[in-house]
Amino acid sequence: MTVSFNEVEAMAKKAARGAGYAWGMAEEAGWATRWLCARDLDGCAALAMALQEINGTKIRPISFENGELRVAEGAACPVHAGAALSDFAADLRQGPVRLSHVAVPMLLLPFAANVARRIGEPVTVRGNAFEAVVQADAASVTGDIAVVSDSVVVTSGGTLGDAASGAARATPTKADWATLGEFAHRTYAPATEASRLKGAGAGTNDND
Amino acid sequence: MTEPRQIALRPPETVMRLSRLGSLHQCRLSFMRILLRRLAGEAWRFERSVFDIDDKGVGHAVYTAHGPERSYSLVAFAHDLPAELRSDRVIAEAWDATFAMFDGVPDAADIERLSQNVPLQEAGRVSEKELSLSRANRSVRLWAHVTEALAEGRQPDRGTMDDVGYLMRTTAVYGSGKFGAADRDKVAQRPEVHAPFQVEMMSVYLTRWFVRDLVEHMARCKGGAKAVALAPDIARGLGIGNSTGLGMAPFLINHPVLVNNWITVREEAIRRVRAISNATPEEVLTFKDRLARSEISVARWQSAHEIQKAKLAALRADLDDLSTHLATFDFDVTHPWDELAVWAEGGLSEEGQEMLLSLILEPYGALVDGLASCMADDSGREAIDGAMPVAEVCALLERQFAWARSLDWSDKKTCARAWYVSEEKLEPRLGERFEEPVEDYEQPLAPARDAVAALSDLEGWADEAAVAEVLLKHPEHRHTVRRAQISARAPYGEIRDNTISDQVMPIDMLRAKLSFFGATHFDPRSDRWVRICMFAGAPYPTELSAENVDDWVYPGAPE
Repeated sequence: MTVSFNEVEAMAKKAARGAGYAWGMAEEAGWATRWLCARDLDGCAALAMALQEINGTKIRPISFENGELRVAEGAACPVHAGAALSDFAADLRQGPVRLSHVAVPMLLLPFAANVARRIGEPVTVRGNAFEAVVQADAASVTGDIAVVSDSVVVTSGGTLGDAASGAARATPTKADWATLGEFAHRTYAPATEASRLKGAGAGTNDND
Repeated sequence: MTEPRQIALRPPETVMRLSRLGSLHQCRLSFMRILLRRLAGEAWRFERSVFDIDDKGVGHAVYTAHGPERSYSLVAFAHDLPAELRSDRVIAEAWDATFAMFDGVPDAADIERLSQNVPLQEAGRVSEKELSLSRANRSVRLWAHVTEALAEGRQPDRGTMDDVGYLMRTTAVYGSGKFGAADRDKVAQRPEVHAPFQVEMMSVYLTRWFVRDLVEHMARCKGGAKAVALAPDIARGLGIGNSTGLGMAPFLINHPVLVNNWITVREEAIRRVRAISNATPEEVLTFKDRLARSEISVARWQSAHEIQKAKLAALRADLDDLSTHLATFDFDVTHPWDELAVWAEGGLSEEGQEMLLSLILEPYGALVDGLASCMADDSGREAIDGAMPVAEVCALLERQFAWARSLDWSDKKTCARAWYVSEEKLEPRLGERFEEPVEDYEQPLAPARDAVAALSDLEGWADEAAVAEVLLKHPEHRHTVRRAQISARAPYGEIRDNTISDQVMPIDMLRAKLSFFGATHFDPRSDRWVRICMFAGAPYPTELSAENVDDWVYPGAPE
């Protein structure tokens, strides 16, 4: 099945919200997932994995000091870490930003692209098993970026390799799409007769 | 010769109030009118290539619009719908007719694929070849009347036609990648569909043609040789209805840049016309003609809803006052349009003011029509600027939401409602926060409340602190900080009213959007859904010409 990027973004945003993200962070998740899919990287798989990682747990607060984004224990959510990376973009001009222990670092790439746009040069994201170079609208990845990385270092500069060619549609696996759908479902209020009548303002004849 | 008069845009605090947004009227820059001007101007060619519908009214048809570079096809499926299944609600699962807009000209395999999916609407899938998905139901009252009359060889009754205004009404028209359709990105840079909702408007416009063909076909099946076709002037008066619910309200809040662009463009058009120092006699004649014909339209406009009835009574009184005022008004004064606008601010209801402001644009196509190219949102998403100092974020929020700080947010009435999405077809709904179990599912559709909460936290930080620091601690304010930063470049992007108060009228949001579509005859059926009419009076595709494309929305055009 192929899905539109609009569907990816809407689904990812709802799924992130369903997993407990604040709305603004859920919007970031939706946009980031779409950004990846549009570059033929499997954003849906990445987000599904990240949400399963934090499923049922409290999202760990992130701190930023001395060029290091960290959580007190465990792995950082890559969307929250990525958003912080993007928010502190200007700091990358002073030196590298390090992140300890990030789940699914692929989700950092869209945010690294924000940084690249902000500072006007490519950004390199290096982990235990991968290296990615990101520009505002493109990314090239070598190695395995889909797994947890004990440490990630983000630096300004780098040379884009063979960038993933753009995709026209997203092609999530059924399993990942279903996982996102389950999280998204948590944002829907159960249907009741009262809601059906009152909540949408029906009650007058609409068949005339 | 005359002293220059500085005319400013009306400020957002005037324009973006819900009651005013809920009083907007169509104008030259409405999406339907933008579309038809282009189709006529570029001499688009139209054809009905398939009409394969049986005597029960079941089958399919294909209508294609050929432009200078590309073609677009409406693929229509007609169904034999049992009356008990007919509903305009989103939760309906069957319709009298279902449609897809196809990008190009479909082949047999496309039609076969669409026939398996389009009739199912949300429960089916379309592909990147399709640009929109929609459905329509018959107006039971008018459909029966018209088929019977035509089958018996006579024209339907004018009064009955005018009372209803359309043979079918659409409900949802889904575009922009929904249910598998092509993303907006695929077509956004094509000049013919760059302006907002051009694909959806084209779909409705071709649907109107199909509906006329279908009713004549059904009359022929029933009446045989006795049957006649609709007289062209009667057919011309028919529009397509639309029944719209709460799904449209979140759109306005979720697309602040788009809303800003629409409002800014209309306000800029109004500003340009108010700044004209002298009106020519021809321009005054055009204005008076459109005004007189608006009076006919308003006289035909019916609503059974108490609120709209009161607004209509006020509008009719406004039109009387305007008529009296114009009897002695000297159009030779300098800045006559500004003089009229200032007079209206002092004397007319918001319905009347907004109608007048739409009408003064009519003589000035050359001055305002080009603004249509500024209505889309081409800006793309911008990341939050985390380096922005807290004081600047606060100033942006204050500029949009200072009014909201004086409300008592601990009062239950102030936050009586909560927007949520039902698991039932994912329909947006509005619930009672303190009476129903909906708060856990609340959507972020109360920017004013959220801005007040964010301001309260932000004020605990140093003015010069980077907002990135605040967002680390307060991810719950992230969407509000984003909106604040968007508002710096989209001053008309925020509604200046409380969208969750016990007094909120969601139909005001629906009306605002529908007025930009170009809808007329707003007929609220409750505080949260509304019926409208689209394309009434418009020439049919094969009749389009430079002569009839400009004033069709006003009834009583000279033949």
